[in-house]
Amino acid sequence: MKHISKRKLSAFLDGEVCKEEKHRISEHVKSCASCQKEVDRLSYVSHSLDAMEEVQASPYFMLNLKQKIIERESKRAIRLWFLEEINRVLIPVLEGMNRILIPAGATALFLVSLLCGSYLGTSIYQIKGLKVLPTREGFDNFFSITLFDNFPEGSLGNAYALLSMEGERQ
Amino acid sequence: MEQFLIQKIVDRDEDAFEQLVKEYRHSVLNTIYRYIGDSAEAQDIAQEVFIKVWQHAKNFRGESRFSTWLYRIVVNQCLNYRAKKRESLPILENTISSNSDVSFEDEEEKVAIKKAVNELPERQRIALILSKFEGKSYKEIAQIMKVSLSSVESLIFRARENLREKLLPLIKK
Repeated sequence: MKHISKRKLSAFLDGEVCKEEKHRISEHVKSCASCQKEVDRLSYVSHSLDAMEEVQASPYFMLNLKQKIIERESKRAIRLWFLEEINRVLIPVLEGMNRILIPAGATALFLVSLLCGSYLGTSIYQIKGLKVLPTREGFDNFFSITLFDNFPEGSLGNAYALLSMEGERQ
Repeated sequence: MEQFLIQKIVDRDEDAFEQLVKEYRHSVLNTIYRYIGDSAEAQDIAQEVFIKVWQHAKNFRGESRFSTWLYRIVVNQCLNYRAKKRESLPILENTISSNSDVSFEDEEEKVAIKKAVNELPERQRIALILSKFEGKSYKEIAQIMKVSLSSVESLIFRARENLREKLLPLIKK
């Protein structure tokens, strides 16, 4: 005879089995001492919980609850007011900063691009075997305007220098 | 009816809120008390539950029963409380029962049962409390705890098994 699982017996005690299953389990338990014992054990546990006492809500439960709600809502109102004030003051400041930040950012980007371009240009000429920055002095002058003194053959700077020299001769 | 009350609460009707609190405070308070084992703390947590109801009533869309939504808040509040107090086990109160002629044995049994319930794993304990004391069906417990029906069946069965092991000395009496 196949016994009913303990888990199923627990659900049976809670009335959580379908009609057919309830009938099947009831019939089985009547004729099976082992399953009957299991039902009794599980029932004992359930009934023992009845011994747990209940507590009554404090007579001031509602009063304290309303007080807490008023406190929370006033705090929330203050917080909202504070945030609104911050927004009122901060938004115009941020808008003003935007007028400064965008041009400043664009300028910084331009300067970074200029430096990167000059570095890349120097690297390309070094790869080609043209000694643009062979010395320590040259390296020290990398970020200075002297970088534009020795223009490589065929560069835009070189062409400009030649033109200006011709202008001086005339 | 509940939907009507909730709508009134959304519209900030304090009388409707009071009516709802009166209707549910006893069961909410006792569910929390049985879960955490401390009546003073249970009063505070129960109040927190109703504050959440007042604040978030607009979030109740009526897709489930109001009690399911309410007990979901109860379970979350209990779990949050336990998470904060995890390092210290709840103090067992020797509460004097309203029944004045309790014998020492009965009182001892009560304390042993309370201790055994308190030592159950959290999810087993909450499932057992909702089933045994609140009379919730497995289906509703599954909705409250956001688990499957079979998980609820398993949680309640394992809670009973654990309790039986812990209460074995009493059974042998």
